[in-house]
Order: sequence, then structure tokens, then C-alpha cells
Amino acid sequence: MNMYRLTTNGMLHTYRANLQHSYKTLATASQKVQTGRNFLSYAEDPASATLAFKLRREFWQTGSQLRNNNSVASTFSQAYASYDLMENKLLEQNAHVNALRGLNDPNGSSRKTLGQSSISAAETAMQSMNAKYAGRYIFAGADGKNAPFTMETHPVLKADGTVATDAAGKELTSTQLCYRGIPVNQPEKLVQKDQQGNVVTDPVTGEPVMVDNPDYLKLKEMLNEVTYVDIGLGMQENPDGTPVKSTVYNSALNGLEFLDFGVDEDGDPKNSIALMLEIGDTLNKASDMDGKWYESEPGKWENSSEAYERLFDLTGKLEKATDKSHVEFTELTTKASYLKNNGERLEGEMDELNQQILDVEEIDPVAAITALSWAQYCYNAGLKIGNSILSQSLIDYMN
Amino acid sequence: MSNVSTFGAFTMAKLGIYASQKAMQVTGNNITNINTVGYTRQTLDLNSLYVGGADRYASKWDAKVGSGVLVSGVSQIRSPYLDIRYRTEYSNVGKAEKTLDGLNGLSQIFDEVGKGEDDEGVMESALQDMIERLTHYVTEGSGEGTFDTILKGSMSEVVNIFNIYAGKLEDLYNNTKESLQEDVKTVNSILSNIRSLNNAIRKAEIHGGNALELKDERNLEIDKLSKYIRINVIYEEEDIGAGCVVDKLTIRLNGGDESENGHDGILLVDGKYATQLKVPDVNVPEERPAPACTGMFDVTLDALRDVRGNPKMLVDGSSAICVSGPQQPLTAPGNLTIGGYTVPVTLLDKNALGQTPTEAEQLEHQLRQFKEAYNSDPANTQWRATLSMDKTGIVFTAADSTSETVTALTQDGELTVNGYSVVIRNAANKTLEEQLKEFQSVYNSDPNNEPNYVTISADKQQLIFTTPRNEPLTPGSEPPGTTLAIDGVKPVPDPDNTDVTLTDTDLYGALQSTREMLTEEGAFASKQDIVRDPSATAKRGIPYYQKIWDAMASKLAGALNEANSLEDANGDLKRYETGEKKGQYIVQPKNYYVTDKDGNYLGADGQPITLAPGADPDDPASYKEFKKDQDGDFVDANGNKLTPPYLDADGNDMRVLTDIRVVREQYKGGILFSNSGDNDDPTGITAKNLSIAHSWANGSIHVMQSRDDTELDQSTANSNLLHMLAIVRDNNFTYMLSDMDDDFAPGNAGGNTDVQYFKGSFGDMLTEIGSTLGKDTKVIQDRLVIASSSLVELEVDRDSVSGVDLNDEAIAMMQYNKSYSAACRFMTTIDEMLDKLINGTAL
Repeated sequence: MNMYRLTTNGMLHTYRANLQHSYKTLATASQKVQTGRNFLSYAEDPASATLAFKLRREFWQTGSQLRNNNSVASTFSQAYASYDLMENKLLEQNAHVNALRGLNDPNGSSRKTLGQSSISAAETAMQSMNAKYAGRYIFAGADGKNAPFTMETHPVLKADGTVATDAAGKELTSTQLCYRGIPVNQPEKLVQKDQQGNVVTDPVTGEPVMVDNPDYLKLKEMLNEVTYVDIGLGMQENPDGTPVKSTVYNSALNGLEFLDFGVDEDGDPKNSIALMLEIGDTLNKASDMDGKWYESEPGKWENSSEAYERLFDLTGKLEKATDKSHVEFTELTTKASYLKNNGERLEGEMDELNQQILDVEEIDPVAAITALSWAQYCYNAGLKIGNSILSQSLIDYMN
Repeated sequence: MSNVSTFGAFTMAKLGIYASQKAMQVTGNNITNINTVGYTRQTLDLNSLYVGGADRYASKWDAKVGSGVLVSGVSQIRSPYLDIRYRTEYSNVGKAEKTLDGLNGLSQIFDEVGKGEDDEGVMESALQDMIERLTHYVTEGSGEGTFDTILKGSMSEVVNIFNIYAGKLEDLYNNTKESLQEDVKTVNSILSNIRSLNNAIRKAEIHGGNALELKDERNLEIDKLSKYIRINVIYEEEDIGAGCVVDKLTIRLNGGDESENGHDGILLVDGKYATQLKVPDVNVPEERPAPACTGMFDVTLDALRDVRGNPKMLVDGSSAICVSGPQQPLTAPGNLTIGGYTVPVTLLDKNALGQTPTEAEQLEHQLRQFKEAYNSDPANTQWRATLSMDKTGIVFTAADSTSETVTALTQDGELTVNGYSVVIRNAANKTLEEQLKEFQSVYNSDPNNEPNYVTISADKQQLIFTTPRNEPLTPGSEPPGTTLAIDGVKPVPDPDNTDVTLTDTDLYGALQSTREMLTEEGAFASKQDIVRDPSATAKRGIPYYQKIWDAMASKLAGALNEANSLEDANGDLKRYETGEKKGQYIVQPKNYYVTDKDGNYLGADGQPITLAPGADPDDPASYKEFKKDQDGDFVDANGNKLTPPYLDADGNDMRVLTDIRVVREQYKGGILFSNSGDNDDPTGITAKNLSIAHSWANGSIHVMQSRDDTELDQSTANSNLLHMLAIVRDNNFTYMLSDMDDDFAPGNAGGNTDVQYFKGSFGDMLTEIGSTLGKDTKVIQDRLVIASSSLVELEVDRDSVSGVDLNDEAIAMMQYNKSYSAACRFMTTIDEMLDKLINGTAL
């Protein structure tokens, strides 16, 4: 204040301005303590406000990713339980044991019973693979609203892609395991036929021309189905709008990956449940008196001895199929473990972010209360000065 | 020996007493006005009186003594320098205050800090909720119809907030416009008050007063004005003749625009003349022509006018007049010819006193007849006739006249001629001449029309509007028989006094801040805007925030609409995707088109058909599928088995088809956001009109799970949902100026360059809005604090010079009390001395 003459009003004016400033400081300090916030608007601290909202968005995003992670982990956990039932109890303990018993049964009288048991186990295994979680079929890939596996009657396809017929030439059908309506026992190639239904042969070699089996290709395509979710791997998109695969997680589980599909060079199924069915069907066709096979099965066996050989082969194939599915089962365990670790990482991230948000937004109670006390003290001191501001002047002392 | 006056000492004592009394009065005035706002302390001006000059009989040993004290006046103690500084700082305060008001208004809308539940913000929270729903949809809800509804509800909330905030921005704009209107009214009122006070002060000073209280009041008004407009106050002296000089106050604009087109220094108040502000859309008075402005809310200064509305006149007008020489009155009725124009005149019988008129009165009567006839002749458009001062001749002044033919009104209403309206009552009973006279009377008495005037033509059918031209005339152009003379003392309108439209940067202060809040577009400033204001891109007003808010809404809607829409080979929107369902199905034949497994469209009779033009084969409403029970038999909605031939409730034949085409509900994409809730039009979306599209609202379309044809039979495919999540949460969008402003469209006429002004996600954009606003607000807040502090200091400094201090006045009271006592004592002493001389000497 540069002045050589201080008037009464000048003093009052200055006092008023300073008191208002003091009161404003008190109000600000009080507001901070009441709200617990370092700033109440962008204008008070633009940098901190910007950072705070950025951190909040990251926090929310991490929370969503954690929920996604846990949701997928739960699904996988349920998948594990269902598959465990299918593999250990049904495949290992039931179908495989039944097959072995059927092979080693001294008088074979129980073969039919064992066959029925195997068929029943196959149906139960199928139901196990049709398990649901949160309203979706777990092993249905990206078609979770529909049961992936069904038992349907379809023509029997031979290894060469032709339909098996009986002695009278009638198409043979059987109850087969289907994945989304397509029998899983599909050969890779089919014999090409013309519009009249005749086999097309190579004019040079005279051999039937083989073409890709569309159903087999369809099944193979289904293996590539994905359902991506964001579990905090830094989700990004390619310019065409598709996700960058390394930044998202595929939560789709395809039952065919675990159970396999198609037929081997003998025309026998590769699918575990289909093999169980085949074994059960073979055992079921044995005589319940002596366990021998008295009727031939076109394309499969002509006599009892061949039937027994077939049973032996199928049992071995079931063992191999079981080993393969065990590998997939282990893969599932690994995925579940990965999700668990990922979940822990995300939880840690959330804690860190939460702490950062608190550091940016929230006051230090000690500092804030101290500031409030000091502001209150200064204001009270200002009020006390007020009385003496309106001091006496010379006029009061004049006669 | 010097002159010694016997009783001169009494006079000396008397003067002393008087001076002390007056000084006490001044002190008392100061003390009683200590709390009067704007009061400047006064002081008595005293001069020592010396009577005398060269004394003929003076001796060099004479002691020349003064004759007492003379009170020469009362003056104020005020520092013009502090006034200048105070007013400059006040304009800074006004500017910062008004800017802060506007920014606070915007902050109430966009500042999310501390708002919402758990301080999560309102829009932030709504966006986050939308992201959460979408995430849930991606992970667990794909294929579930309910999730579409849930997501729609969440997006509706976001749409709602866009609409609400846009509405609030509009309200803020309208309120700010009203505030500008009030500010302009206030400024105009202040200018009028200053003008009135200038008049009053001038008159007081002419009559010998000093009008100190009026000057205080004027200073208060000037202080108020300085908050709205930065001004330059100049005190001049005006010689009004006869050695009389009065103060004249001039106020000029001081906005700081020193560019070529700037109007720094233009007059706002010039003594008894003042301007008025005119702003389009705010306060253009009807009687004034609309100003020719180039931008919104440009300010035009009206020509300087006095309290009666007359334009500023030049005192030393140099207009020419043509004077006819002294005329002789006609002694008999006849023709009077002056300046080449002849008018038949009559004689005056009696004067106003009823007596025989004198020659002068007769002449005046005849000259008046001449004047009326001359002025009412429509042919006389170049000159106006008036009587000379001595009433012996006619004075012709240059004039422009136009005549207008008038039709009488037949019922009460407004008679409008040449743009001026007069209400005529009882028109049915008035002749045209009476109506014309009424019009003439009102028009000529309206001070706003001066110096124009109207006369009635001789045939009483026309009105003649005359505008005097006050200009120098060249010799030879005067009417015949008249002499060219210079009317030097006649005030004439100042030809330089015209309406002036200010540039965008001429003003500085609260008014300018309000203008900028209504007009500045920040990054959206075009080249033309930058020419008007070089710093236009750095100023962000309500239009800027309206544009970026619209941009964000439009971008969000556009991105999600694009993600949910597929185009077919022709580039048209493809609403549906189809798949194939294997097996046998009963379908109703009415209004549907289905295909068999070979892809042929089938009619109601099951035979292949050709589709009618415009038919939509994928209409999902065109067929109805019947389910099968566990036995594989078709059943109706109640579970009753259906037996062939399959008939519907109306008896129509239903057909069994194998491997039919189906429409999957979850792939029915389309427009999600439109510009109105009752259509699906995605064009021209702004924050205010953003709506959930009609088809999505009524469930006709849904959010597409997948855009990929290979994922048709995947009921829980989610690739498009994931894409939408990326759009809303992660993807960076480029915001170009041309998105919301056609001034930047390619090939625009203004040569404006389209640039990117932001790139980021929607969350980033929301933060950017708040952060930009916050930074601007903080800067202005700091400026206001600094300016306010300076203002307080200057106010105290000013008060230290011109304020009343009780101690000072107390001392003055004591001083003048003592001087009064001393003067009285002196008088008593002189009295005693004279008494001694008179009664006690030589007796």
C-alpha cells in the first residue's frame, strides 16, 4: 500500500478486503476437510483432475477385465469338472474297462451287458459334454445357445466315402454322435458322384475321383471358432476392425478338440464317444449265451473271430483316443492356471490404481485439518482486529 | 505615506471571519459526506487580497500591506492520474469477471469433478456404465435378447445426457445474450447520464457555480462505464464566448486496437453529446436503421446526439444563406416577388392588439404569406424560405425536398408517410387536409426529426418532406435578387458525426467479454474470423463448446451406426443376414418368401416364383416356424399336435419345407442412433437431437453380434460386440474441423484449411473438454485475483488523495475555529482602537 495518507474509509476498505480473503481461505480449507478432496473442480487443479479421471477409467477397465477373467475362469472350471467326469469316470472307468472285460471275459456271456453299459456310458458322456454354465453350453465353441452334441440316425459312411449298404443294397444307418447336426465320423474325402448319382472315375486310372468332404471341412472349420474376451492383455484392433489376436483371449471351448473327429484309415471313428458307441455296439451284438458273434456286420466283421479282432482293435484305439483327450484335458488345466494368475495380476493392478486415485484426489487429513485450524485462527484474529479498526479519531478528544 | 483606511481593517477582519466561516462550512461538508460513495473531499481556495496598484503619492518608504483574505472558491482534491489507473484496472476486472462468469456457467455443465455418485462424474459414469454393459454383453450376454435391451437402456442414458447438456448450453447462450442486452442497456444508460451531467455541469459553470457534487456523480458514472468499456477521459476547456470558459469532458474509446481498421480514440461522449450502442439481435431501436455489421453481436456506435436526440452540431458552422434585401410591404393586395418567386398576398386588417398594423407588421404578415406559399410549393425543392432576423426580408437556405401523395384514412389507424407513422383518431370524420395537418404537427414537433420538417402542398394533397442542406454555396447559385451570406454563427450538423461499426477487437472490458463468450469458436475460427481478430483461435466461447459437444455426439453415433450396419454389393444398407436351417419345418404361406434347398423362392403354392420388384425376401415376419415335440411331430403354440393337411387358424394351407432359409434375430443390424426418435435417419446428428433410432427403440433391429457371414450359425458369436467395445472404450478417433463446420469443408470458399484438432477416445475427449475449460478458468481466475487486488490498492490510493479523513478534518476544524476566534479578536481590537481614537482622543 503506497500512500502517504490513510483515511478512515481507506483503512476500512483494506480491512474488508483482507477479511474477505481470510474468510475465503477458511471456506476453502473447510470444504476440503468436509469433502475429503484435494480439489473440487477442474479449475482448481487441471492436471490432477485430468490424471484422476484417467486413473478412474483405467480402474474401471481393469475391474471389467477382472470380472471377465473370473467369468472365463469359472467356465473353464466347470468345463474341467464336466470333462473330468467324462474322461475319468465314463471313458476310463466305464468304457475302457467294459472293453477290456469284454475282451477277457472267459465265456463272453456278459458281453452283451457290457455292450449296453458302454452305449449307456457313451450317452452319459455326451450329456456330460453338453454341460451348461451360465446359460451356455460350455463345449459348443461359439454356438453356446445350442447343445453341441446329439445322437442322430445317419447313413453309415465307409472309409472310402461311400455309404455302407447291406446285402440287399439298402443303405445302412446307425445312431451316430453328431456335432451341431453333423456326424463326427466323417472321412476327409468323398467319392465324387455325378448328377445321376453315379461314381465319377478318373478316365486315366479308372479309380474313383475323391473330393473334399464338405461336412469334414465344416467340422474342421468349427475348430477355429473363437469367442474373444478382454482380460487385460492390452486389447487392440487391426485397421479392419478385427482384434489383434495376441491382445485378446479366446474363451471358446470346442468339444471336438477334446474328443477328436473323423475316421482313421480303417474307417473307425477317432472320436472317443463314437468309439465307445462302436465298442458298445460291437459288444451288444454278441450272443448273450456264449458271447460269440453269429451275425456278420457288413463292412466290419464276417464272423465271430473277426468281431473279436475288431473289438480288440477298437479297444486299442480307445486307449489312444483317451491318451489324446488327456492331453487336451491337461491343456485345459494349464489355461485355468493361466487365468488364475492373470486374475491375481489384475487384482494387484486394481489395488495400485485405487491407491493412485486416492493419492491424487484425497486430502492428507493431517495437513488439511492443520490448514483448517490455521485458517480459522487467522480469521478469528482478523475479526478481533475489526473492533480496533474503528478506532477513535481526534474528534473524539475535542472539547 | 501610504494610504491608511480608517475602516479598512474592519473589512479585513470581516473577510477573515467570512473565510473562517466558509472554511468551517467546507469542513462540515467533508465530515458529513465521509460515507458518501464517490465523494471527493473539498477545500476552500483562499487568496491574499491586495488592493492597490501604482500610488501617485507613494513613497518608497511606504509599507504596502495586504487587505485580508479572499475566498476564491471551493475545489476538489483529486488525482486524475489515479483515476486513469483505477479505470484501466477496473476494465481489467470487468473483463476477467465477465469471462469468469461465462466459464463458470460452462463449468457447471461440463466440469465432472466431484459430481455424481462416488465423485465418478455424470457423463463419465454414464459412459462407463455403457462400457460395462457392452463388456458384459461381449463376455456373457452374446445371444441373449435381454442384453440388447439392457445395453439400449444404458445408451439411452448417454443420449439423454448429451441432450441435456446441449440444452443447458443453449440456455447458457440465451442467458448470456440477455446479459449482453442488459449490459448494453446499462452502458447506454450510463452514457446518457454522463451526457446529462455534462449538461448540468456546463450550465452550472456558466452561471458561476463549480458543480462539485455533480462532478462527483459524473466520476462515479465514468467509473461504472470503465468496467464495461476501457475508456480515455479527457478534460478540456470550452470557450463559450464573452470570456467565459467552461470545462468540457470528452470520453474516447481506448480498447487498445491500434490496427488500421481499429477505432481507438473514437468519441463516446463529447461534452453535451453522447453516443448510444447498437447491437444486432439485442437492442436495435426500431426508429434507427439497422447497422451494417459483418459479424454477430458487432457493436455500432450511434452518431453523437444531445439529450433531445439532435445530432452533434459544429458551433462555427460555415453554411451559406441567401438573403433578400429589406422589402417594402405592398399597400394593396397583389403579388409579392422575392428571389424570382411570386406569391399573391393579402393585407393585414388588424394587428394582434386590434389596431391598425404598422408598416413593419404589414411587411411581416406579407412575408409570412410568402414563406408559407414558397415552402408549400412542391416545385421549390432546392431552397427553404424563412424570415430574416429583422423580419424585413426572406432568407433562403439550401434544402432537399421530396413530396409524397397521401391517401386519407377512412378509419382510425396509422398514417404512414415516408416511413413515419402518426396515429389518426376519428379518421372517418376528418378530411385529408385535417389528417395532413395532424401529421405535420406531430412530425415537426418530434425532436428526432430535426432538422427535417414537413409542409403541406398548396393543393392539400401532398406532404413535402424537407431536409436543409447546410453547406457552403458557390456564388451565382443563389435565387435571383438575393445576396450570398455566410451564416457563421449558426450551428450546423457535424458531417463527420455518423454511425460507426466497431471492429471485433475495438472494445475491451466486460462488454467485450460477454461478446466473446457468445461468438468465439476457438479452433473453429475461420480465416475471416482471424482477420477480424488475430487471436480468435485462442479464445473459446460457448459456440466452441457447442461444436465439440456436437462433434463428440456425432462421432459416437456415427461409429456405432457404422459398426452395426452392413452394406450389400450395391452399397445399400443390408439389414439382415440369413442362414440355413436344416430339417423339416411347417411355415405359414401368407406374405412370405422362402426358398427350398436349391435356393428357389417359393410362392404360396410351393412353386418357384419371381419376386415382385422391391420385395424383401429376407423379411423375418414372413414366416412362422412350428416346433416339433419329442415324438418329432409338429405342435402348435399350445403344444397340441398338428396333423396333415396342416392348416392355420384362418384355414390357410401351411406347407412343409425342408432346409429353409432363416433370419437370425441376433444378426438384424441397422442404425442405432438417429437425429430424431421417430425415424432412422443418421444424418445431421448433433448433441441436441441425438436419439435412439426408431427401429432399435421398437425392437425391429438389434445390436449385431457379428458382421462376418461365416459366423451366421454361431449363436454366441461376439466379434462385432467386441468391436463396439473397442470403439466406445479404446479406439482413437480423429476430430477434424470440417466434421462440424462447413467453413472447413473441402473446396470451401473461404480458403480455410481443414485440420485435426483432437485425436483420442471418447473418454479422452470428455477429459479434454473438462481440462481445456479448467485451464481457461484457472487462468482467468488468477487474472481476476491479480486485477482485483490491484483495484483494491488503487481504490485505497485514490481514497488517500480524495477521501475524507476525520483526523484531517478535526485539525481543520480546530484551525478554522482558532482563525475565526482570532479574526473576531482582531475586530474587537480594531473596534477598541477606533473607539479610543474617536471617543478618547483630543477631547
